[in-house]
Amino acid sequence: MKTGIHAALAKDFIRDEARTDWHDETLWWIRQKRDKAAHNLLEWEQLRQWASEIKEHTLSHLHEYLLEFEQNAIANGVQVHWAADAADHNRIIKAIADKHHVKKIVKSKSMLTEECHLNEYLESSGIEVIDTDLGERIVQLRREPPSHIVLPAIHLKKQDVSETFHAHLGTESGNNDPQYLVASARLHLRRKFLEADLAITGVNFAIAETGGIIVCTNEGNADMGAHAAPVHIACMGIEKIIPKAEHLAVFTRLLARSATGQAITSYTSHFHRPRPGREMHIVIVDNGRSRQLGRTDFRNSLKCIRCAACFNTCPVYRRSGGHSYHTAVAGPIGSILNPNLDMKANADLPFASTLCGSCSNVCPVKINIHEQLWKWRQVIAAEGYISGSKKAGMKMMGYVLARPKIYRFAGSVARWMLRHFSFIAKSKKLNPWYKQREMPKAPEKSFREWYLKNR
Amino acid sequence: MNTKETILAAIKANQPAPARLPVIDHHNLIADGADLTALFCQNLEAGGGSMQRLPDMTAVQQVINEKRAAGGLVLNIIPLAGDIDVVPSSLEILDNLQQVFILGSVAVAENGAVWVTESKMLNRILPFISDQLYLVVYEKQLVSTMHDAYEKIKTNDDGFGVFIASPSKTADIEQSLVIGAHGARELVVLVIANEVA
Repeated sequence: MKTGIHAALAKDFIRDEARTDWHDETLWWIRQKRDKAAHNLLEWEQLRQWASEIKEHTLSHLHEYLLEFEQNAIANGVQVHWAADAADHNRIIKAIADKHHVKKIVKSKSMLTEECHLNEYLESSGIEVIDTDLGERIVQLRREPPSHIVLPAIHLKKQDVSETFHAHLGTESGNNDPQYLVASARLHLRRKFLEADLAITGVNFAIAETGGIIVCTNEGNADMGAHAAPVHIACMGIEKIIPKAEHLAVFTRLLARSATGQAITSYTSHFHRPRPGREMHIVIVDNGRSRQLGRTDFRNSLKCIRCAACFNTCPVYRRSGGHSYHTAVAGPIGSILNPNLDMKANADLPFASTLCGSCSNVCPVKINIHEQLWKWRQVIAAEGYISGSKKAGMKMMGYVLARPKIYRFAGSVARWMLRHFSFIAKSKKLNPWYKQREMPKAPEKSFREWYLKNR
Repeated sequence: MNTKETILAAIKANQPAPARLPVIDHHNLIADGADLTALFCQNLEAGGGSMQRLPDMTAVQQVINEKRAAGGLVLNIIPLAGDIDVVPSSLEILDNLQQVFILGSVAVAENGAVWVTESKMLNRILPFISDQLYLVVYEKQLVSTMHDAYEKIKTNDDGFGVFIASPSKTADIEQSLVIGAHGARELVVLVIANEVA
């Protein structure tokens, strides 16, 4: 996928206006379900405050908690691995797979493995990797990346899924009934679970005190995989740690309510020890997170619990689609995480926002997302990663705004031009603002002129 | 330095000044006096599960016997609810499991979740691979919130434990809720009124 072009990719997405509206409305509906669930709890704001403070504390003691977690996990009979980056992560998993002569892998949702491009890596060695979350399986069959971290196939309609399943799973052509399609996927994936040599899962929370990991799903796919296959590998970023099991109460109360408006996910699975005679591995991954921890303005982004509430509320995400963010984690949170991973390739993302602040208001761990978007813009500009035209425009704007006389003159010229030569303002080439909007009627005078007369 | 030491050194160098850990004094939050059973039932049903209130384990045994009479593979692994079945180890056999009866230890009113541990399920895959899942809890084990639940359980007593709040479900196709994604298509929680856990 090409990089640095959120606006261009969004343009592709909004070409189909009816579908754009549907996407927008669907996500807004999920946002409303979240509101209903949140408003049902009088202590909602207290929970957000606790969650934010628990994460703040954990990040400030991350070194100690990771060591405590590792020690306890090893004592539980789990094998712990450390990966500095995506390549390390992929190599470690491949080595475990090779040791067990693994040919077939089932994987439940893990944005970290998307970030590391694990599937491509394993498939290039001839290992089959099946994504078992239904949404992820749909996009995998279509050879697309997920467009949303909680709802990977939210950009697709049921007829798209029906066509995909007809082509790959042999379902009836034209049968768009979700019940039928899910039942077909269940049969297909049940075989995959039973035949798998290895199961990979993500991690929602890792408890330092006990060395256990928690995985939350609605489908039960993480459990079907991990309990059926002889080997289980769980992949986690360093920021998944929480100090104690009691803190899970705060996070499990917030996570599903923020994500989909459910009170809790169907399954909240706590893995502490491998089954007798079986193997369990945990891969702890840095991949730029320790660097983000050192960025004072941006370290709070590591509090994220991946609920995607910020996606569902974002007016830009809802109307541009997840693929326009060209990264594993899209949406507002992705736009403050991804510049840390690759500032040049992701320099466009902090600009894909209106800075309306809705993301920060719904965030269950109180990340100041919109402020970080604004701060990233300055870092990116200072590092020289913004386009020449944007730079020149901002420079010109800064020059004019700093000089009242020139500003007043420019204003009167603009109003006159808009009245007499509106075709210039309506040239989409010269004025990109006009692309999706109507130009306003030019007022007779400026506010200043009016004020001087009427004060 | 090896990879672990390099990562940990970078974290240590970059982590911010110590921030305090909040005290989760949740007892100040919760209004007492709610009918926990009614609330549990309401939230369980909202998630797609169902609840039956039974007087005692003998009544559970009757439910099990009815299921057995209907044929199909039924497993009871609750000692107090009659004969215990040997759990087959073959996944191919378990793939045909119709009903399994498992004892839960805590039930949460605010979300309909039941805590189930490995020692009570014998094989970790049973609650997921079975077509229908029956969880049995005593009414006295109902608690109000997840805070209360985590106070009652010890997450690492068993190698595996899970809160189950609904049948397996998905809304990944155009946000249409479909019950029965990969795991159990039906969840029934049998709440036993009279006995002490």
